[in-house]
Amino acid sequence: MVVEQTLDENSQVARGDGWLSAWVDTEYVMMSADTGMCISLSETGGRIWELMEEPQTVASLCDKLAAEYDAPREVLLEDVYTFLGTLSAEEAVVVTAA
Amino acid sequence: MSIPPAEVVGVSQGIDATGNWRYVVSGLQVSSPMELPSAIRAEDVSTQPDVVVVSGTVPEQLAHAVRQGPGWSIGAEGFLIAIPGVAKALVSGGERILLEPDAAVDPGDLVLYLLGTLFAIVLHQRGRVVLHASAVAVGDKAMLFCGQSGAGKSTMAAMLGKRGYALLNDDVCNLHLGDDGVYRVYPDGRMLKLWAQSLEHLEWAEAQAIRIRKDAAKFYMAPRMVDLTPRPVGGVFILRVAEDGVSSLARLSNADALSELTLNAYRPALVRSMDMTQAYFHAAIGIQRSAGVFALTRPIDFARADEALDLLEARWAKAEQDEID
Repeated sequence: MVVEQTLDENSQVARGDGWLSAWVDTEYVMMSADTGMCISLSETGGRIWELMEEPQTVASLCDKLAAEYDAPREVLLEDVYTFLGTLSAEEAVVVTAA
Repeated sequence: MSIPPAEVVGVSQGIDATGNWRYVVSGLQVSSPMELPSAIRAEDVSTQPDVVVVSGTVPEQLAHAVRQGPGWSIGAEGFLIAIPGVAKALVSGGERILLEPDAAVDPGDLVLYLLGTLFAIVLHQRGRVVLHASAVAVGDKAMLFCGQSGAGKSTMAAMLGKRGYALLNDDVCNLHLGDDGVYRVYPDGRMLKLWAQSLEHLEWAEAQAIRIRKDAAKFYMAPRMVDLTPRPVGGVFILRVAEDGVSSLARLSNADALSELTLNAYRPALVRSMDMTQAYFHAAIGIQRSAGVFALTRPIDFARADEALDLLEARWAKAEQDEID
């Protein structure tokens, strides 16, 4: 699935429907109620998921992360693209073009 | 001249005032008009039963079904289900099973169906999570063994019984979330369902066992010890076959633990139809956090069964030591 190429700062991103989630120590664990697919996220990944409570643009998401993490914005942006690309392939994240 | 005092001098064991048989299943007092040979008889038959089985005519359909699928529907009256050749049933409020057996049903099949699927519906209606697992007591904890039919759950429980661990559950393990946030197993002490070759390995005579069905080489066998105290889950062990012949025990990652526990729901179709996925998710998370989910991989070879048992006992000894430290 070639999702990453369609992502840019203006893309709208939202959580997919029907995902259950919880922290287990420093991992964030998710399960699709529809398919039973289970995913485990790193601490940072879990934080991004939490910040995605409302649908928003990638730029808005990066601004929030920049406020929490001490990293250059372009580095954060690359990480977010990769993360969202992976989760959208599992239908945990829905991306709509700007 | 006096007449002898009028008093009840004897009541046949396990039968209540309504003439029903009384059992303890999954920690619940069950009153049944038919005998359930694999269940544990209740010692006290004077209390109000939690679940009553009633023989009668089951309606063909519910007045207002909110969900339905092939052979089942759910509405305000309860869960209506029909298995052709076995029975029709209406399960209501987690406390009543209206049962209409098919005229040609094998009595053994009817008991399996009642204590299996129908009782799982009762437990779901009570908000409990039901796993396809057997369990034994280790100290004050319950250790669960999961796996598909034929994975060796009952045999594992029976072999641990030989090493002195009390049997808690066979095949079906129901979990109840306490007010303290702890998941506990409610034992039911059902008899073990074992294949003939397992009986032979355990040196139990077929003569002492009750054949489950006329045509199957599978038997009910009374466990050596039964303990009905609810216990916190101390660990869940997923039984796997070692393709390379090497026995091993390893803790699963969070994603694998969650996946295995939800896959080992006793009746996955019931979890979906009764909208219980969230309850199973939270139970899996709670168990992985507090106790852990493990893969127990071993060759299917009775001669090497001790290897897996030794790995388990070493793990339990270490967990106990960690708790003391």
